[in-house]
Formats: sequence, structure tokens, C-alpha cells
Amino acid sequence: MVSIVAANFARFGKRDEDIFAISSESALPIVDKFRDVIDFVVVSNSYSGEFNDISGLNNLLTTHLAIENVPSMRVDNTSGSGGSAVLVAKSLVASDEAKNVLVIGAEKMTGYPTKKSTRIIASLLPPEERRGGPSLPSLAAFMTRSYIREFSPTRESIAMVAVKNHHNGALNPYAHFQADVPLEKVMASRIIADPLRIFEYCPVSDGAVSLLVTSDENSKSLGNKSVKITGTGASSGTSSITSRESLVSIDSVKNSAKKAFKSARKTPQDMDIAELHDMASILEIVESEDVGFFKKGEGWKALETGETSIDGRLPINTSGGLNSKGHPIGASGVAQTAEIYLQLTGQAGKRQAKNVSTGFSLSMAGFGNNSTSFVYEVA
Amino acid sequence: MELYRCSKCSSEYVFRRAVCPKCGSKGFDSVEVKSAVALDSVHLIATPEPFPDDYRVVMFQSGNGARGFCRTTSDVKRGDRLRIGMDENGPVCEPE
Repeated sequence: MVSIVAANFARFGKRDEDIFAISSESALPIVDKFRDVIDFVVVSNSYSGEFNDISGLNNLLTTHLAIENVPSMRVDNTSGSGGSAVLVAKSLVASDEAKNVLVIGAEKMTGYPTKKSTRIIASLLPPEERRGGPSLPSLAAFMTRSYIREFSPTRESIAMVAVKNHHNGALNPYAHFQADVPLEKVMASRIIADPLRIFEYCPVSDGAVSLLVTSDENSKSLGNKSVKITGTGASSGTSSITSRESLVSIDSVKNSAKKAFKSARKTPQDMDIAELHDMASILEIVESEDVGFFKKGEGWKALETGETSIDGRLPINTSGGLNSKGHPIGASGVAQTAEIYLQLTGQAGKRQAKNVSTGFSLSMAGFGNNSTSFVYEVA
Repeated sequence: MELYRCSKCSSEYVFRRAVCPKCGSKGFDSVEVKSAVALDSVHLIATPEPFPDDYRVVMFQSGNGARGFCRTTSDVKRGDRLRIGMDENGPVCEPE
């Protein structure tokens, strides 16, 4: 069995520092404590070439941290890089290739015009589809329109994802946004891709987060609180959005979650808390159904009843999610694991959920081209 | 606008693949599409480079079932028939 024994954030948001400073802010507290036992470093990062003119970030980072003799690799799977990196780290430990893996998720994306950032992120689409002018946010708008046609949710229930997650983000000192946003303000905010509005999308953020992944046996000797990864599931679907049978469901999400629950011998109903990939408000709802927390077409009702709030039956995105915490792409999936670690070990501060001993996270690449799911349990 | 038609099963795709996902054939012919039906459209305000600001992205389907995206500044509704053309950045469309 593989466990997480440490998690540390560098604040997400618009940061003046470069990617090395942000990364080391998250990694150094772990490196300082476990320098002698870290025997592999996995860096989750997707766009250091495009945004920072840097290649081989893993080697440059280990040199920066003065652990250059520790083997390392960079994992790039666009928005799902973090989940893939945690899966790689878990596999390195499970296969005995490494004993204590430092995972660093980092991205430095701000400082460019939105139009340029939007182009860089849209580069994950098939070139011929991309030439038709879609952005990733526009795909979420197509999904929203389909979902409204098919299931008739209230428009307010979709916007409530942003209200809930901004509230959670305001309780998270590492989140990009630090303020509540009332429903009226969300509904009156600027349209980005009709019908979705600016508060319903994640911001462009810088940020980093680090984890230490180790074997269950090692975790006892390292002295920190630990959380076990008891289930994993990776799945892919087509990169072509227009080839999909449905826009209100994501195959890779369904399949990765199914695999993770099966390997953990748990069900979605056994979960106490979850972090989902809410790049846009509608995605949290669709994913909460595809994962199996709610019946298809009924996930929006949980926003109206408060079931997914911090004090609800199944808190979702207590961190603020991508929507409020921010989405520094390579860091996001690692941050989801870090949030579950903090919650299950009772270290989540003002946003701590009560009585949580099992957790789930979904790290999604692109617009569902690829997903990695995890089930966690208190050690 | 150019589509790719599988030379074995005649399935059509907007984007080029090495292998037809329906029959496994590796042969494709290039065909021209000039009209299609709008499946849905989204008014996009924050647009990516190199496109202009503020247009509608339309998801369309050709007569043989190929689906793709095109841009327009016109008001396009689901089910509208479209004329498909090209500009310097890619496919553009107008209601017929």
C-alpha cells in the first residue's frame, strides 16, 4: 500500500516570483525534513516551454533545491498532469523502484494577455477542430447548453457551483480568490462563453504544491500523519469533442472513477469528501454524476440542497476547487490530492469538514480527453 | 472545407487520422464540404489567438455525419442549414 505523508502549498494566484521560487516555496519544507530519504522527484508541469521558455524543468528544479543527484522526471498531461504525476509516484513506490517520492506540481502562467493564454491552452485540441475557433471555455458552454436542454436544471443551480467554491476558497489561505461571491453577482457578471459567466470559470493562476509519497511501511517511521491511496483508475477518451456521442457525460471520468472504486473495493456512496475538476461550473455537476455520486441529470440538485457544501453530506471542492483556488495547470491535480490529505488528517483549518475518513479526487486532462481518479483512506 | 473520407467504409472526419476508428482502414480520400447543419452554437467573447474578438462557434454536422467547428458572426440556431467556407484562420459559416 502507498501513502501520502506530507503536503505543502505555495499560494495560488498572480505571483511575482518565477517558477523556481514558487516551486521551492512548496517543496522546501518537505525537502528540509526528508532530504536524506527522498529518492525520486516527479514534477507535474505542462506549459513551462510555452509560458516560461524552460525545458527539462525537473532537472532544473532538483538543481535549484540542491537534490540534483536524486533521479527525476517531468509529467505532462495538460490539465490532468497532477493526477498522472501522483499515479506515477504511487507506481514507483508500489513497484519498489523508489521508496520516498517527492511530487511537485507547478505552473507559472500569468503575465500574458488572455488571448494568448487561451491559445496556448487550446493547443491540446485536434488541429482541425481548433481551426474552427473553439476555446476550452467554449466547450464548457456547449456542455452547459446540452445539459440545460436535456435535464432542465435551474440556471441558478449551475451558478451555485461558483458561489459554493468561492466561499470555500475564501476559507483557504492558498486560494487565488479570497472572497465570497453572492449568486446575484455571479449571475450579473460578464459572459465569457454564452451562457457561462466569468465567475463560473477558473482564473489563470500561478502556483505550486508538493507531496511526499511513500510506502505504508515507511510512513510509520517518517513520523508524519499519513493517508493511504487505496484505489487508482486511469482512463482515456477521444480528444475530438465533436466525435463524442454525448456532451453531458465524459467517458474517461466515468471509467477512471469506476476503476478507482473497484480497486479500492469501495463505492461512490462510501466517500466522505471529494475534489473534482471544476474548470467551469458545469463540469463539477457533470463529473459528480459521472463519478457516481448522483444520478445522471440530478447533480445540480445537490447545489440547491447544500449537500456538497463543507457541512453537507458530501463536501465537494472544499479547497475552493479550480474555480476559486485557481488552476495553475501542472499543480491542480497534485493540489487535489493535497487537499484530501489535509482534510483526512484534520489539517484543513477553517475549511475542515467534519468526520471525514475517506476521500476521492478526479484529475482531468483537456476537456475529458484523459482522467485519473483516486480513492483515499485514513491510515 | 476539406473532410477526410475513409476509402473503405466511407466514414467522414473533419480531422485527419492515421487509422479509421470504425473499420481500421488506413486509406483516406479528401472531399469538399460546402454545407452542413448546425448542432449548436456558442457566443464566445474571450477568444483565442489568432481569431478576432467576439464570434459564434458553431458545432456542425455534414450530410455524411462528419462533425466539426466553424466560426460566424451571424445568429445561428440549432437546426439551421449552413454554408461552409474558409478564411485565413479556418472554417467559417453562414446560415443559408
